[in-house]
Amino acid sequence: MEIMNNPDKGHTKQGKEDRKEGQSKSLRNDLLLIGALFLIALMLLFLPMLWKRLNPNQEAEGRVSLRITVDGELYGTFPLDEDRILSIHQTNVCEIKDGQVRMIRATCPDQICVHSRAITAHGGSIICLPNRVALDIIRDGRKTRDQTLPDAVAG
Amino acid sequence: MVKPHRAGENHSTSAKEGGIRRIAVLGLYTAAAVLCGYVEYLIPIPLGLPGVKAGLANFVILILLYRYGFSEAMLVSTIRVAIVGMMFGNLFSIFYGETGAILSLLSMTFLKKTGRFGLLGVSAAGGLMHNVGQFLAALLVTPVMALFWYLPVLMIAGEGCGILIALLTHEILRRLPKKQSLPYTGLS
Repeated sequence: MEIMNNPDKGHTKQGKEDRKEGQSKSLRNDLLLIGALFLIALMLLFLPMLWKRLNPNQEAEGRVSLRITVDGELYGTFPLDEDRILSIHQTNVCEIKDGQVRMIRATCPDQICVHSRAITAHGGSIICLPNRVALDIIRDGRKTRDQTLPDAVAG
Repeated sequence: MVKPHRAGENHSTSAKEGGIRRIAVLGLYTAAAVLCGYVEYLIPIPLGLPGVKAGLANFVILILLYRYGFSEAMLVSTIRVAIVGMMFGNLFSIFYGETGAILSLLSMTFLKKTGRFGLLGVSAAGGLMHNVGQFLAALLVTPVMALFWYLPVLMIAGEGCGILIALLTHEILRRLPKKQSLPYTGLS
């Protein structure tokens, strides 16, 4: 028992050297282990980002659609990637073309909606206050940011 | 190398006295571990997930693992999580914590048993696995795929904390008198 314990306790020169070598070896193993675990974590962090960058169209186009509400009630949602012309209750006509939506005709006197900037998948909205028609972009069932419908319309 | 405690160490004390001493010593360690949980409760780390902590108590578990053994460490670890959870958390944080603590201790014991890794690697892997375990438990409770973004962050944070805990434990183990080994009672 005593003899077996000797190298461990470092009584002999040989034992001391063994122990020292073992310690530096375990330190090297520790650093390797830490590095490997860190790399695994980094991979888990960056692989989804890379995946998203390689397949960007899945989220950008597939789920974006135009929502039309009339008088606060949903009139319908239409995908942005299909070109079409929609007439809304004989008051307004809007057009989806090349992923852009614009109002092309309206019965209202001010024609603000017709002159509004086209809205795209990035967001935005066109609102015809006199006819209470609102066009906006929804993504995956949710509204995109920075547009809100007015609660009440004056005039 | 850590000297294992021997059966015949306390010839003068009876088995009953040894059991009492064992209870007292392990109780002391449990108290220290619970205190660590309290300190963590006072200084929370805002990561957005419930029940994620720095793992300060891990140094108590590491001391137990290196000085005494797996079963003592497991006993104190599970009791610690339950007590801290009842004091400062809820049923869910106990669930997350126990999963993390058990996974962490199992992986630390495994790495230590291989004999190839020192305190540093064992502690870093333990910290990482603690967070992984908590994450898996959280995923089980709320299966939201968006949570996966947190996992790598949690892993790196746990690893970093594990490294710091290893330095702390190294200093404590150097200063702690070796005589305090528990009398053998047949449990470990």
